[in-house]
Amino acid sequence: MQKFKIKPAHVIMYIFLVVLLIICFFPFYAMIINATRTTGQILSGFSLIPGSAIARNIKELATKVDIGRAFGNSLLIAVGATLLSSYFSALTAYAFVVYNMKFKNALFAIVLVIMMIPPQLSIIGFYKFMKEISLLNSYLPLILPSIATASAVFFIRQYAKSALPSSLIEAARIDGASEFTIFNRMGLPLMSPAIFTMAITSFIASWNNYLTPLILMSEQKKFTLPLIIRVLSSDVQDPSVGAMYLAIAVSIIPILIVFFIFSRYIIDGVSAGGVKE
Amino acid sequence: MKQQKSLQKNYYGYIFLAPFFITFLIFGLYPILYTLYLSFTKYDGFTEPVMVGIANYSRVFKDPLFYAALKNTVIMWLIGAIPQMIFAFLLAAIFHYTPIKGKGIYRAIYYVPRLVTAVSISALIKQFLNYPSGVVNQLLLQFGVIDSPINLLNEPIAAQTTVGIMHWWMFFGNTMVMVMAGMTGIPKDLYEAGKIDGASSWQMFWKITMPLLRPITLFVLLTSLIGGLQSFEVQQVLTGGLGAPQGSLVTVVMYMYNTGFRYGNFGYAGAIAYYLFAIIAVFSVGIMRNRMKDED
Repeated sequence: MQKFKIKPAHVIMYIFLVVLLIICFFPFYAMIINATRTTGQILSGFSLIPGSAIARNIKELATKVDIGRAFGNSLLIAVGATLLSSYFSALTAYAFVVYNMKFKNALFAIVLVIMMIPPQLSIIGFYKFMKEISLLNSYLPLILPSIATASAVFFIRQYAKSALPSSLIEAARIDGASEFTIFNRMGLPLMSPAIFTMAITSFIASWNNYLTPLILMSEQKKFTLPLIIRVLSSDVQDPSVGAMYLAIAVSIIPILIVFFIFSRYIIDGVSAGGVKE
Repeated sequence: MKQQKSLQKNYYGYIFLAPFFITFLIFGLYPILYTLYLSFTKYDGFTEPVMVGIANYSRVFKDPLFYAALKNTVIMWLIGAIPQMIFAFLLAAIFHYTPIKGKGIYRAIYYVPRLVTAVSISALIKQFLNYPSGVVNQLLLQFGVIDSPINLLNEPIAAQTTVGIMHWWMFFGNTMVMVMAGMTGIPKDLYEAGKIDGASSWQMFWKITMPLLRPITLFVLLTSLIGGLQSFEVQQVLTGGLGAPQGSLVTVVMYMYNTGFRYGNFGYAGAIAYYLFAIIAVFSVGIMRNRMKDED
């Protein structure tokens, strides 16, 4: 009896789950398909089968923007920001766990407040400040602020609280290791799972960053991928739809690859952000 | 001796914290205070700022465009957030209480839209919605849902609904993962006890799961609201920065951006930024309280 009751419900549930799966993935699939079709084919009807016009779309895209260069710019900024954010967030989190200095709790409360500040609050002043010190069209304002990534500090600290045994650090001190050596040789490896999760998150955040480069960059050869996509997308006269799909695919596919390799870490990071021990 | 030595090491804490706080002072706090200063001036981006007192603030207070933008922002958030919460809780419950084959794959794919560049998603959807020959029109015509192509981005309510649905699509997986994490924290024996008392799964969901999920429900709601109040990218790319049709896609952040960077009124844009911040701060306090409680 029980079995017969449950089965139809299960069927409905699985249909629901699979439909949602398709809804989530279909846009990316359609994007990849259309990136391989000519504008004429795209406009005349939808197809689930890839076309053979990818080389043509690449050529057509190259006449409009240097997408390779934008890709390189985005990659350079994202890698730079990720390295700085990983190392310094770990250093900051380590300090909060290992040392017992005065005002520690007050300083940590500041980190929590920083996490809550909406990024839009500073952009007007940030723009004028960068203009004054001639850093418009420079990558430094897109990379250096990653040294202070409050959310990464918060996450790594949660992990480090249980991953850094004080007896081990004490032992290293007795052996005469300097504080920086202890952090680099012992702290970093012990915290590495949390650092890694935050590194992926920070890479994706930097890759997707839009507002800051939008206000700082005006030279097209320095544009990141989101800015190039915006330029292409706002050109309503542009008839080459195939090339447009290709450009969008170039900006999205790296993220899809990073995600499918590391999805477990990313989702663990999200879960931990929500729950408290 | 040794013990004393390690106690003396505590000043290293400040050295290790220095890069973080120095960077924040330069690239975070200083620009924030600079924005505050500019919000009391008239500044066009080229000539020197001129002090105007609280003129910008009193202007925002009565600016119908600001309130229209705030209203649009909240409407688009609601259209997206309501289904986002329903789907997140429903899916989290399904995954938590029934053994689903390939659970990890579903979870991962539902999460993907959250990670992909919002600008690219928006450019992609803009192509799909293209009038008259985008993918959406092609499919709807093919399946006979419509007789002639429709232009969803031409009508305020349809355009706002489109943005809301895009936000739902982008974020329900993210909310689901957080709710699932919350459900994992509920002790199993509570359900055992419920079962012994003869409660149905429906009763147990409402009497055990939901009350115990209150903190996480509050957290995902507030996070979603704060994110919603800052929404900008989807609307900007869909409308080429204009917020058409009839300004219905102009959000608060887009209004601020256009005021400053398009029309060169940086002082006024700064005041708008601070108004938005004041609104967001109210909701942030809720989250902060939650976080601080955990620290004890």
